[in-house]
Amino acid sequence: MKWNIYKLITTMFMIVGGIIFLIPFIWMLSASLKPEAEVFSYPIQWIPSVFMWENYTAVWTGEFLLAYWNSIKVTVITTVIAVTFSSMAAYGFSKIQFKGRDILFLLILATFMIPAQAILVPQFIIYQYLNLFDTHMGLILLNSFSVFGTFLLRQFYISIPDDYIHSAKIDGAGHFTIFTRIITPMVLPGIATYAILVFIFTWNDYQGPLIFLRSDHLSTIQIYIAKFASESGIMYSLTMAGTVSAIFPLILAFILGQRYVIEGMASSGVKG
Amino acid sequence: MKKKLVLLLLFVGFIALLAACGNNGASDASNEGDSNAGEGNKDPVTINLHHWYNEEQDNWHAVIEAFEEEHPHIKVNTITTGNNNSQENREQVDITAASGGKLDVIMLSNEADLNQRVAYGMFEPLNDYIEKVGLNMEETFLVDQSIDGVYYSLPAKYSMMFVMLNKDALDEAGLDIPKEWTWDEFMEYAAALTQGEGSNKRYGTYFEWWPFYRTLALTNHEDAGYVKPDGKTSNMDHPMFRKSLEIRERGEQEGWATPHADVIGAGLNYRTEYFNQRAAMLVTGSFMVAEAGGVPGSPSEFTTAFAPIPTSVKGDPITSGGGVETISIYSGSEHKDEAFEFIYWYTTKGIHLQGKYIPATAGTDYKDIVQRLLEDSPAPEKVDIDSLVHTLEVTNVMRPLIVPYQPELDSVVQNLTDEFLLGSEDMDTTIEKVHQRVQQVIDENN
Amino acid sequence: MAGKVEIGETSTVVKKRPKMKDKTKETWAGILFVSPLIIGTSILVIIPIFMALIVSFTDYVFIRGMGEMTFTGLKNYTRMLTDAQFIKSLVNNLILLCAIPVSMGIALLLATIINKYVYFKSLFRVIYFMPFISSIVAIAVVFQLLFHPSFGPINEFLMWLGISDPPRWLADTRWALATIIIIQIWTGLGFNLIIYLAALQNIPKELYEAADMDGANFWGKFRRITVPMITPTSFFLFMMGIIGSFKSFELIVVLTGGGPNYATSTLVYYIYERAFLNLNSAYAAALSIFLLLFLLVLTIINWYGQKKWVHY
Repeated sequence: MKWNIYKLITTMFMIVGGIIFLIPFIWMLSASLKPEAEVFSYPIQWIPSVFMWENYTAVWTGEFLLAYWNSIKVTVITTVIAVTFSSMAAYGFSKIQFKGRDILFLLILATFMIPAQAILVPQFIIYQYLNLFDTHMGLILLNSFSVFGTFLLRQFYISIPDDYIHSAKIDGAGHFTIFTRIITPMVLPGIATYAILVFIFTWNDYQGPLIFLRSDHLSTIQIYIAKFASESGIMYSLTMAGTVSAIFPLILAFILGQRYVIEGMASSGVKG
Repeated sequence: MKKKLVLLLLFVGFIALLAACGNNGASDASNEGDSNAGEGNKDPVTINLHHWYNEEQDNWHAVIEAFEEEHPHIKVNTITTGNNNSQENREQVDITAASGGKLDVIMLSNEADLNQRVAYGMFEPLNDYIEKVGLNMEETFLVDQSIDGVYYSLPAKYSMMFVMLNKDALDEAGLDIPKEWTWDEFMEYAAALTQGEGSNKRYGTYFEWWPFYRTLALTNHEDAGYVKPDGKTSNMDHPMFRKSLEIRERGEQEGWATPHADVIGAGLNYRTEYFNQRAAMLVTGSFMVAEAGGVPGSPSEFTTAFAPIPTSVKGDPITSGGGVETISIYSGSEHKDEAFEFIYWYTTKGIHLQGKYIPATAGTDYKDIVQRLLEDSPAPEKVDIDSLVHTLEVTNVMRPLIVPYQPELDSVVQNLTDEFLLGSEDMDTTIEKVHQRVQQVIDENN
Repeated sequence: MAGKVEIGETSTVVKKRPKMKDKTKETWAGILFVSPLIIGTSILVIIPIFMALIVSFTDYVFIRGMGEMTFTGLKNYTRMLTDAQFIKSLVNNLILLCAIPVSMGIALLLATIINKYVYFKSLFRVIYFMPFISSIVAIAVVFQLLFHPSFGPINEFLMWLGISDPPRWLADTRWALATIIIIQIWTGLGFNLIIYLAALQNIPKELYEAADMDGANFWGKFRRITVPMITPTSFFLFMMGIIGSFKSFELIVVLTGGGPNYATSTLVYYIYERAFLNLNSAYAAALSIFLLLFLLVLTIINWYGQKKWVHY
């Protein structure tokens, strides 16, 4: 393979730029290994004076693994449900003609515009009524119906030419077959991207479990990490050790998901 | 082939997850349904206790165990955010109340939150219960939390404001630990303790962004609320509010206080500034006692001494607004008698047993409690116990008028004084604006 | 609009079959596909919105329950007109919208570069995505230190340039909002980038090959092919950006708490303050309904405006 000089220069620039994008993460790593008093010392001390691996051992004890497992469970199930429902709805809103479709879509879109804080109390009342309060099922359902995801995927579905559907119909295929076998594989980059996003949203969700869960044994990882606080405030070194520990599933999800983005690219005949 | 295998594994994993989830849901439901009203008097009654402390750190398990042993007919189910964040606990409680959820005993971190909720009938009046057990409120507790003669809470953890001083810096500057002092003396100390330049500068003191630090000189005045004791007029024309702003102005101009712009612009944190010796004194609360020797992994590098909160006039009584946490009974609770048994026991006995908080009871042995508070400290020898005990002993509780819409007033005072502290508004205009705006909020709420 | 074209096409293709039956079948299929989302959203969001709408005409305080509220007519809505903090927050929100096109533009450029013009693509994908998964506290701390009024590298640089009195950024009522915009542009990048990267995969490679044969350079291809082909995604990001910007909350809480002197207060921050700190639930509900309607109007304008620039 030949090295292209322009490509090399661009790569250099992007590496410099990339460092800027990594700074918060580097700060997290560094803070997670510092003694508490050093976390906010100024100017920033990127390399801790002593490496406090104890921060990690302090985090990885007790119920941390249970909280980790709870988060994995809730996040994976939410992701699967949300992707399924959103892609179905996106297909319906883009590739099936029915009366009032666009108005219905706008109406659904409008539900995304209400601030979460405004409907928290009514949601809570409904949850009590449906016995979903303080259950993982309730937490999962909370993030499973995504207007955001539907809109995102709709934009992907809509750019697939209708000819594919017509020819499939002539071959006798129904919408279900067209949806699962023909169109969805074509928007795999979109699906994978949305799956990554929903995974991250759910994994990082703090407000949801804070309000809708109470039992300790149901606690998710974000709630658990927030417990590293003393009477006079947050213990940032421990919190960051927890946050860094909790970031790996996100990176994993991202890398796995990105493979599908690239595979999808191959299937639609576009080369990177 | 490989891909199919991965897909299959994913699918199996997903089903397993679903199953696990379903199980959990079911067991939760059965756990919740154990309220046993009218089941005969053998089964204990379960009451829910809401707070925000970490149960492990703060000995709560031992407290509850001791209570249940003494009161076998009551079981206490603790629901805590566990993160020391009283605001999040308050939100959980509020939302539970909105949906008619099961609440019994509720702790709140301050009287403002209590009053705000009493105004909407959230808490049970306790006078009858207090009478029944013959509890003498005045003799038992340091503070009176009644509202118009009605008690809605018993006082739990006591927090007072005081000053933490870097004793090494004091010695260096040849200053004594003050036993009592005025704000003018405080400012002299701060000026004398300031050292260095640029990013290595050690300021005399650090003021956090909280509204409290904009009304410092008001703290030891009986009529020191935002609202005058009549409950209808703004108190922000009080000369001590002007005095408070003068303290802050001098701190900025004479350079002995960390600039307000740095505090809010760089998101500084009082613990870090003090323990990293970038500020030699800290006006703060007794919630810092346990950490005065540093936190695990970060022992303090210098000795901390304590002084009572300064007064505005020499010889005035030393009083601190501070806050006494409240423990109350939800007005919709189904087990009010049992709930009262718990709060009575906790505020008079349990909290002493626990040894993690300063109790609001009269006659507390401060020396003993301080030593217990420092049990987990990495460097208890860096805490000057004598000045601390002295400070705790001489400071009295002050109880300015607190109105139900206190948070709104806090926000007004904080925002309008920001302009002044950043130097974009002069003092007279600021006082005028705060006074007017506070009056406006009072009118809107009356 | 794209929909109309599709309708035209559909009718020419399916002429052979009896029309009525086919249309009903399509409608049923459509309903079937969208129903899981509709049902879930109805229970979890639409019903709560109606509850909020009802209480916005009352003096409801949520800790007291629904039983004790009385109707107060439009009082909560007229109150907004004279509420200086509400108006300030609304104006702030409108100014914050500036961040959206800038963030989108930079993200698209970066996405294009990462997609085609660099080595180690997969690595760059991860690196440029990191801000999106970094803790918001970490992001806030880093930016607060960068913008440190006295010793921050930015102000030290400005002073080195000879500016003796640089802005105090987050602690400056005139600059705080601008600072928030800068930080929002940056935090929005990771999100916009990953969506653009996915969308770029859907552009047929033949288009670029044809352009290469015509001797088009980077900018030519970017402007003539990438930007137009990606408009459905841009439209999505733009709409979501507006809504998200109005709902921005977390970053404000950790950076400024709406201060100094409401300089960075946003509507949702204000709604939160009203609902959960001041317990004015009814007024908070009215503010939320206002926000919903305001965003709906913006969305409808955008929706019908999209035919001017969105190519499906």
